[in-house]
Amino acid sequence: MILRDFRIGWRLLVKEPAYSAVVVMGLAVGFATCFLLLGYVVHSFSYDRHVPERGQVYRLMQHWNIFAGARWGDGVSLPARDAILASGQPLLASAMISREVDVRIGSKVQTMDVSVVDPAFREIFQPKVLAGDLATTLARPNALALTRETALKLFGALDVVGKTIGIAGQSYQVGALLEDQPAATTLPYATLAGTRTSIWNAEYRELVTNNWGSSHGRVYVKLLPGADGAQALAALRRTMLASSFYQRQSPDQIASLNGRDMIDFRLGPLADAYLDPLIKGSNPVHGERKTIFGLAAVGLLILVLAATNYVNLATVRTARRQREIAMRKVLGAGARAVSRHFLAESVLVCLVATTIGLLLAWLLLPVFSDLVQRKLDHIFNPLALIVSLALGALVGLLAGAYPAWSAIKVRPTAALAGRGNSETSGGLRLRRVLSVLQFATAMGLTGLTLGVAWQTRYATSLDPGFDPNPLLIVETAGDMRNANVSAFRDALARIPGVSGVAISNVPMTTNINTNSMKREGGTTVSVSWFRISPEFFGIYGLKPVAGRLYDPARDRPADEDKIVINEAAVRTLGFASAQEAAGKSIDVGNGNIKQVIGVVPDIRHVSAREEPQPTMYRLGLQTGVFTVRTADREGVQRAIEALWPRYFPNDVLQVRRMAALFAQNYADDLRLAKLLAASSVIATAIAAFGIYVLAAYSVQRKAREIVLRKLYGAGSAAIGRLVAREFLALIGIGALIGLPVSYIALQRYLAGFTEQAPVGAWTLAASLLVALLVALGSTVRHGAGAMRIRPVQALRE
Amino acid sequence: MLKLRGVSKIHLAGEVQTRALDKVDVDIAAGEYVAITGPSGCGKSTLLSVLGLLDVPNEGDYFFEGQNVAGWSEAKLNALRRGKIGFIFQSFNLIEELTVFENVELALEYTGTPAGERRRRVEAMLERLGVAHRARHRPSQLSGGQQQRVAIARALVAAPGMLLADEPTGNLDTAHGDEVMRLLRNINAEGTTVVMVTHSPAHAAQASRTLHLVDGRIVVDALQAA
Repeated sequence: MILRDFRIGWRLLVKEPAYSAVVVMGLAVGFATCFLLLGYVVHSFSYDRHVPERGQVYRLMQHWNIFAGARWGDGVSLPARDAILASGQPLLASAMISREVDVRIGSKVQTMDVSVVDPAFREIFQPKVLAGDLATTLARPNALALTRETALKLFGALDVVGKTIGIAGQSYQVGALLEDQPAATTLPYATLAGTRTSIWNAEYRELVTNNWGSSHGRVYVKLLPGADGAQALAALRRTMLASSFYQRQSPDQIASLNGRDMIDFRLGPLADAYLDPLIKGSNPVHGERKTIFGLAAVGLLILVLAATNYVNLATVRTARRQREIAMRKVLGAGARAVSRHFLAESVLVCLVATTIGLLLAWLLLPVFSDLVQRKLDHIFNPLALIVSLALGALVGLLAGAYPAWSAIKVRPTAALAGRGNSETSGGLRLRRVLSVLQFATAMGLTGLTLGVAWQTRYATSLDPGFDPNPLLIVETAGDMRNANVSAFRDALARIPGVSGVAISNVPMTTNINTNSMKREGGTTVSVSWFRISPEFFGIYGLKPVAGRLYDPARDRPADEDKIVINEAAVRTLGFASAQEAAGKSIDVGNGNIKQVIGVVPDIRHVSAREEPQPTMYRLGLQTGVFTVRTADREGVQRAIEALWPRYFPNDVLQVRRMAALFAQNYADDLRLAKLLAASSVIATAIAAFGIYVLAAYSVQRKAREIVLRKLYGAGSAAIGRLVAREFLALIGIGALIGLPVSYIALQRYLAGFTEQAPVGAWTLAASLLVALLVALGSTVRHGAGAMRIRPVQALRE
Repeated sequence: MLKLRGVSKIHLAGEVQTRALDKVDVDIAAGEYVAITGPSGCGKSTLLSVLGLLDVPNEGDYFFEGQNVAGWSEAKLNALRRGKIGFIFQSFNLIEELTVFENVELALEYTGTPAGERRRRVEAMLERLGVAHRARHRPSQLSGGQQQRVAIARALVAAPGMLLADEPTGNLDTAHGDEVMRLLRNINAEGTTVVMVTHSPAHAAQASRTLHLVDGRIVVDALQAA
């Protein structure tokens, strides 16, 4: 291609600004969508690439065999770390236990994530230290290392080494400033502290350090040269089997394991951490291969649709430019010159569109990042921009090939005589096939979007078993053994408009504790448990199915001998009925016997993806999450905000609505629905545009037929039908291709839910209707134009 | 049958006004065979358009079968035209996407004729014009003369009272042209009014009456000697 071809191409673009704007913007939107989606895919496959010698770094994973349905997880205990370190193999190991803490700087209180790590963390991950000394910082109990981002967030500056931060009334010194990690990391941290840190109180330290059953964080292992991972795991297993934790098991528990160990361990490569299907759902920094490939396919499909439109439009224009092409040929242009000319035009259009598309993508990046919940600023790097422009040029060459071929086929004599002003039947068929694919895609995506949105709406509106609307949730860092927390409870209860306060160890939507349980003569099963105050069931408005529930007048908050179980637990434990369960004694582990005083209906702690969990409710003072019942949520929230600093001046207050906590379960589904909705709108717009062009061409091609039909008395309706018939057929075939695929995809999505919305076929019918309306809207202008053609034109041929 | 009184037609091309017809008065009785002649641009085709209810005059009155149709909407003219007027063009105007049979059937499609009846009439008409063996072919597979016979079949299949022909022999060689003229004479002999625009004095001479136009006015209105 020589410069002159580009120059002529540019002149043509400028000469027909409306045509050029439509073509370029259509392609630009396609490029922008494709860039963002593929950027996200590249991001998803680049996790933890920055970790030095990543191939040697592993996550220590564990699997509990005593719980039916338990899954592999990244969370392991510190005794496991100690055991693998003592294996004698040449390896490094570091725990990483992250918690949110409230920090005070001057008069400002903020929430910050603190990750407690071992000294080996520094050797394994080699964080870049910008100032200070990381080794010393991790060795001191009252020092912290901040990342650049955290330093800016807390202090608004980077000269933070030596400054102090208040946590729970104690002072901590900033000992090091670290470079931020790349966004694609499965071990994000904002602040690092060593395992000797004073942030852990004695009780918590005891809990995480010595208990094999306590998995509060992760352990990373780096195998050094000569290390044998299998040997290290074997040593870990031997230590576990010899531990007092293991030895304390009851004969029943050992029997229920059927010869397996209580806990299995494995080393999961760090390289697989982000996409590891074993830990799906247990880690917020996790991606699903299926979703990522699905988005990549949608991105490429949208680009193909946009390019298809360009081919359509350019071909139609080539048909209109036959005289020009004929003249070029008469004047000596060969096939090579003609094709070069058309390809240059196409490449130019695509490069302009790519540039605008990149600009659009840049503008849309914040919205897109929010939708996929990932930081993606780094996808705009020089390599990505160069690859995008190269892809743009390639699309230009491919999309320009057909119009160029059509131009080569123009016969000068016929074209100059005004004949042959139409394309071949093969070309027409090709463009019809492309339009069918456009509509199939648009309809398929629309159907899927409607299904996902409908299911999300259905799941969020499921009855949780109680009315969440009058309930506010307030979390404190302490529990009711603390006089201050207890005083806060009394103050909450005195707020005008508050009809009651209940306390639990965690919010009802957070289900993190499980326990083994066994009825007399039954097998050991796993149940979740909540620790609650006696007021709990009254505040949540729950009535007993059998026996009685806790009653503040009869039960003391610390009475640990009685338990209440739900109906799912009745079934799991193997009782014939709730009545049979009430009053029975249950072994809740190691011979610890509790009495079931009553059975409560199942309430929905978890999302509609899971069956109601068998659950045990026990009393106790280790509770610090308040549920406040009120009819005046706004007024009471304001009163709590006024009250909070008097009791917890160093902590950040978070008042949440119970109903909003439920909605959080479906935040990912809502985001997926929004992503799909955006993609369907783009695909539908592109298809609409494609059919608009096709309609224009169709009317132009059929002008003579329309005139003659009018000459013999065809009315407007007959002409309208003639124009619409072609597109109805295209949409019909598109529906036959796109809707079944959409149906299958939706069924696969719904299979993940135990509670499925009765979707039926309405989403498919609706997407067909949308396609028909869009087609009607796109053809109406040309249809009306066809109706207005005056029959006298037949005489002016 | 047709009566034009003071009919004028002005064409607008940008800011240029062209008076294609200038106060034309003419009467055409049922069964006449009228040839319209004149130099290029004199208004022959415009007159034919107005007569065929394809175009509306700017001034004057046009009585079609006794009704003054001046100022009628296109939809009303469309309904009036349906089945009553047949058209033949110099460039045949056959639709390439349709077969010969379908091209002819098109003239009956909007007249409410049942499908069986349509089929019978189309076959009979193709038979009469000697192109029945080409019924399934596409127009481009036919010779020029055959294409014009198909166009005439289409014009006649609805048995219109009037046939309008615009240079029907313009794209044909002499032999095929003569054949078309013979067909037109026969059609007229069967009672159909024929109005034909032609450049050829020989063909004009075959009509029973000649209208000669110059600058949008009828300057000669002569009956031919039989």
